[in-house]
Amino acid sequence: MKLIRYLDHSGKIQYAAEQPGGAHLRIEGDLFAKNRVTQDLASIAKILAPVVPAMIWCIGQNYRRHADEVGMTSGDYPVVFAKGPNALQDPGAPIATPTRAGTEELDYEGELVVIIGKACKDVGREHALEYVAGYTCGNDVSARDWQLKKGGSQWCRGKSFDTFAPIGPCLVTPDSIADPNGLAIQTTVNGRVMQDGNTRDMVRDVPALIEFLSQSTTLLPGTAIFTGTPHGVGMAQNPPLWLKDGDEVSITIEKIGTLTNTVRKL
Amino acid sequence: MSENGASQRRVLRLDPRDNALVALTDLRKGETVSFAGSEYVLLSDVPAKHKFVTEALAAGGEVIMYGVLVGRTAEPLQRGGLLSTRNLRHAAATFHNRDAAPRWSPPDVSRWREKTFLGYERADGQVGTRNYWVVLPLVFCENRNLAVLKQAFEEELGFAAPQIYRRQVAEMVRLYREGKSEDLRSVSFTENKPPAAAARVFRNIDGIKFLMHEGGCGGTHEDSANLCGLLAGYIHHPNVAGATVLSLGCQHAQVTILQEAIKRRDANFRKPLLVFEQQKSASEAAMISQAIRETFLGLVEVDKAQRRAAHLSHLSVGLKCGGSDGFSGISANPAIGHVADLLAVLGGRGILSEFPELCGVEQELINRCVSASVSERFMHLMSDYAARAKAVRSGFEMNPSPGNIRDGLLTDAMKSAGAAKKGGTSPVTGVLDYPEYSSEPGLNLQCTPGNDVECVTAQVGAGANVVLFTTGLGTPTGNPIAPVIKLSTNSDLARRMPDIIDIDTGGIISGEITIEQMGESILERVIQVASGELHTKAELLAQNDFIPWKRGVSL
Repeated sequence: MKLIRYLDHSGKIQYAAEQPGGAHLRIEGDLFAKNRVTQDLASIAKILAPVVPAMIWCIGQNYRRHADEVGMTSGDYPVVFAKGPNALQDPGAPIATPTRAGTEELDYEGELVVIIGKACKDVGREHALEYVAGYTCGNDVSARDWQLKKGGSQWCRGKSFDTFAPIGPCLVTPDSIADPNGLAIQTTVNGRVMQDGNTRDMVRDVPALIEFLSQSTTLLPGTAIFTGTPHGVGMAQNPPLWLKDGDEVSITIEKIGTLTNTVRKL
Repeated sequence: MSENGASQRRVLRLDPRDNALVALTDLRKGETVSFAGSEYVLLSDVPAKHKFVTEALAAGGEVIMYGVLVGRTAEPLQRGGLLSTRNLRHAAATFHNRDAAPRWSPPDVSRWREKTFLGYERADGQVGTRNYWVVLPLVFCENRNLAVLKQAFEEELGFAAPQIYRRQVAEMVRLYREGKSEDLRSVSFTENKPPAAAARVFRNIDGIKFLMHEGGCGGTHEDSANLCGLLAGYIHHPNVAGATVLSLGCQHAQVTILQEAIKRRDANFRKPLLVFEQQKSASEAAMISQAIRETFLGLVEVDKAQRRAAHLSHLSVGLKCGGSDGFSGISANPAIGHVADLLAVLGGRGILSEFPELCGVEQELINRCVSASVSERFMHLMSDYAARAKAVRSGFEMNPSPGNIRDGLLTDAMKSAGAAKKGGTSPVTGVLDYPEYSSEPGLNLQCTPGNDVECVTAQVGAGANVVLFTTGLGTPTGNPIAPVIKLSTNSDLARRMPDIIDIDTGGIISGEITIEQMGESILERVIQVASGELHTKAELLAQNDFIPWKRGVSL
């Protein structure tokens, strides 16, 4: 099932389930608890990011060819960092260039994002997928200069400016994606394919990531996990391809859909 | 699918009538294999994808697979004996016209009924999955002019594929100039930091494609009529918004022949069609410059097109296999056959071609024809093809390639029986001779050779706006104007060649997924590709294979 979070015409935030014909029926109740699909057609004014994450965990260098292209190695432990919830952005909404902080090196990273549905801690990989609410596309937008040079050796700063975590357009529940390994993922910038990968090429797959992240750490319902990006990021081009005002970035994942955001100087 | 559990499936029977079993993994000589309550002692090693017989056969005995005759034994064979090219000869059942209308239980498509894809609707009602401008020569004499235009347009418009290998040559030039000839042997290609591609000028145009070919003159009148028919099919194709045609002037394939062929396909043809004739031009430079000017203005117009929701009935899917192996007929082919069945119910089209690879399964296809006139046309084209092959002392039995044979496809009939699975089970609604354009919803049979590129070139010329291409050995093929989705028949190939394989259907062999589930998943992918949201590996590699069939003998 494909779920969307949206703003209705009365200004209320709602959830809806997509029907085979593309129509959306409103959902009543809590997405992470009791809910039911009504017969009411959703009156959609604006589609929003499918969840407001309780926490945004991110994984670095989780595709070997990407680790190679940026000259890093996938080590014994996954590279884990976080993005602030302030960075959340809706599908179709702009990625704002950080004018005050300033960046010369704005980059994209198309990623599969896992949304946790039930609180979990110390989960083994064989049960990990039972805690997943669904999957969506994410763009781990990165200001490389802040990430690598001005961030005091932490990546968090360069990846947490406002609007740097667009996710969407929908949440696809596990009944439609039984196995998150083996999904094609592509990123285009202004229509040109820049990243072409498949989640089967992850160094650590989704169950392994949930197992690792949940060690001594409660993953609360609504936690988003950015699972890493395949090769083809802007910094690895020659010369580098930095995003600029007006650039349109689209991330498509098989069985999910396309997340599109345009870079704007706001 | 079999009596054994999914995890320990080691052999497979494709049809209850079969007297040969397929090994799903490498089996050893002397091993006892149990299947369906019987035990078989293997008389030799049986590599994965190969077959052994389940009963003793005298010389000349019939070997049945997929429920049809696939060959006769050349020598007596014991129960558990391995089939090989040494002991098996091509043989195919004879066929006769159908005696009843086909009966079919269509799959449930309620899930798909209201689904749409985002496509380019054309004035004639067809819907494109891409938005291209094509430039094509009417004769090989114009190929250099075509190359000049290609170079001029592709780079400047941002459509050229990045020149990733140029740096390796540049590096070798540097070493050579510095006199370091010893180091030349160790220069290798590095994927890191590929040169960035230029930005696209036209956001809503997927590319400008140049259909170079070797025909248009020097052959028979039938050759030039066929070439013009095929080119007309490309110009009429919904993925094409407009075309530039280069003509020399004196060649067999005259502009008027092309224009008539276009009119036959669409009496109200309205797309921009720019024709330049060199023998009427003041100079070559004048013609090229004018072609560039008018083509650029045409591009400005067709960039205004927008994708809109379109019903799945506007999908026309070419069904093709190439570089086949012994799993093709078990995994990927029946999976895309299920896609063809789903589309047939939804009002879309499937195109099954490669007549040399339908040899041996004619009767099943004849029985599936919706009318006697459809089946008669199929029988006529099939016999005609076989006769022409025989006339030049070739025959359908020569079709399987060394690679096919190594991977378990021993005879043409065996290859055919697996190949025909791409056509699913729906009724045959139309039969097309080359280079006709398809119009009937449902499954169409199209007369083409089995040769990968000639066949896909013809399928797209008949209106296929997506091609599903299955492969067991791996082939990079693509088409200039239609996305070609390549499906591996086994997971090993998908792992080894991720740069050319779009979808892995190996899960069917391991028993993780059913043919029907895989078919539904493929149709979902088709919709994302048709909508321009996902691009195929062939598109990313700019694999623009285009070879018009000359209608000589090609298998």
